[in-house]
Amino acid sequence: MNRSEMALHLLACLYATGLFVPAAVHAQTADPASPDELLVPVVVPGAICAVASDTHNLLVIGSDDDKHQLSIFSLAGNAAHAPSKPAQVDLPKPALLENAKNRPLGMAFHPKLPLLYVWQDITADAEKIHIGFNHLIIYAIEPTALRQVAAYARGPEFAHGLSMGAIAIDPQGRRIFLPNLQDPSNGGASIGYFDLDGEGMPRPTRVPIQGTLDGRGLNQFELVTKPVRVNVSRFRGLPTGWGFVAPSLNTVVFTGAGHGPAVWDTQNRRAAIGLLPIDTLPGDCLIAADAQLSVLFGAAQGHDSLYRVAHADGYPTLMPQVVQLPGAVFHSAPTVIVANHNRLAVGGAGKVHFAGLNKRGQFTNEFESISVESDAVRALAYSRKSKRLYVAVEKDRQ
Amino acid sequence: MINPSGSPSRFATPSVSVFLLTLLATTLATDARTSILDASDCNQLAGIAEAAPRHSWAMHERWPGVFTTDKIALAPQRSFLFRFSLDKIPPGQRISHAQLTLPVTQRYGSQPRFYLWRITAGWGPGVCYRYRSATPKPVKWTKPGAAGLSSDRATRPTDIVRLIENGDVTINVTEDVEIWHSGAAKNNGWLLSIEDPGINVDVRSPLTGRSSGWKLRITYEPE
Repeated sequence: MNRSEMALHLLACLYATGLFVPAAVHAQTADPASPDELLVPVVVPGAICAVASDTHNLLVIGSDDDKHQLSIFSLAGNAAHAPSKPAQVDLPKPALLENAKNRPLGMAFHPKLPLLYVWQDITADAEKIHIGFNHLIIYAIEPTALRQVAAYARGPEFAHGLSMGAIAIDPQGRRIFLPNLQDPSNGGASIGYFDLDGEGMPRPTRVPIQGTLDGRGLNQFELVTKPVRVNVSRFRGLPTGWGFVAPSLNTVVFTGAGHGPAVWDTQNRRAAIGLLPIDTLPGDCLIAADAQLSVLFGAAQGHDSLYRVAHADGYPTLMPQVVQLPGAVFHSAPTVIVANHNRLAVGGAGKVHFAGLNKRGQFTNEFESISVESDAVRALAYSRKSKRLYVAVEKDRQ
Repeated sequence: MINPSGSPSRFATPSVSVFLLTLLATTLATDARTSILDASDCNQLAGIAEAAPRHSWAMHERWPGVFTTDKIALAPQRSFLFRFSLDKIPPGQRISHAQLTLPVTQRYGSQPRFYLWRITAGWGPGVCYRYRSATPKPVKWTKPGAAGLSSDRATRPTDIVRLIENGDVTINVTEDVEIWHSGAAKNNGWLLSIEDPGINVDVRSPLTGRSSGWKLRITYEPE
């Protein structure tokens, strides 16, 4: 065999074993080959939260800027590159809180309607906040902008001045779960929900009017847009918005006692809350899930620990798995990346950390980290359609 | 044995017998081994309760309507499922003895006792009072609470444990472990239950791992 025959033979062997693939094949595949290609940095200084919608081809990043707290990017173009210049929106606040700074803490798209829900918070005098500040803002998604269509969640029932405030909507779009509620009489931490009508707006509920009992012991009622609330103060303080996973209309998972997950079964008063404390976790966890996996994931904020536990319709089940990424300091909720890249991505200190997952969503103990231009990466969003992970960073890499 | 004179020794036979018997006993004693498994060897746990029909971790109603896992508070219609992995026992061994130790911390009611049952039906993700697994599709217990005799749990309990005082209780589970290890039945673990009204028994939660005091001591030897 001469040299050229040997070279051809070698190439044939490499091709057969899959180690050599012509460049044209790489060009055709949409799948990024590595976390480096998967990750798309997006410059939004002070980013706090992010959400992507494949239905609306949008990426929205919330920041703690004095103005323009929402940056809206179109994902319709080349997903592999940072989206073009965003449209920007100022979150609303009343004139009497003009000098106070409001910031978005959580966002969620309606699963069916062109609506974006934003949970915002503010630090100022309590009385002024209770009178005029709405925590829940609803935007209609229009071709070139977001247009505010409604605002809710105002009054002493809503705690303020908090740093966490995730929200979630059930897969059918019939209920929105709310963080950081409190019992107005004693400040007891609570979570709650609004039922949504066909237009995606909170549905008013019948509330008895005090002092209206008639001779038959019946109250008169008025219609009020008031959240259904459950008190969690026995095992959880404020903030209660570390994350919500709402796999069904009637159950929502949140971070409960002992840093582990808790489920609120809104239909069962005899067993409204189920707690699964995980004693080995060093701190409270930001949580997330992926509908395909039926698995909950948590990242201990400010620490290096991750957990996973299976769930069935929101009820945590069987044994949790806890892993550590030595040196990591987590700042974001975990983001689940499925399909050909079974990984969990979590924002850290100047890095995005990736933990390998098997098909059942169990940790494989394969970890990678990629440096990004941000001291604390808090805003990540994955687009299943574009197969890209968008990461808010402070500045472009030099 | 031949003595130096070439004739058989009268004292040789007893000496050989003693030697052989000692050797045999030593060999048997050496070959019998004991593994002590603890709560960290449990690979499936679940608390199931009628009041919380979909919860997998309904072990203790700490506050009204709030269930948690700080202890196992056994009560009528509130049971506990657990499964030890037996992977540490090598194949080809005969189970000569198996003993389960459970740390009982409190008991309530007249003549308190709890039941230990071998579970016959497989259970998995989403296990709860209503279902033995809930994903990918719900599969019901024959009778809610794993109560179906011979279908969900064995026809007779492995033991009925009468409690006189708080502390560790030991239960002989040789037969159950033997049939699992031999492959005669699949290891679906055990169920702790209360079958008498007015009785409650608290057991330390195995979720704290080794320190919980749960033990499964298995002695085995070559077949």
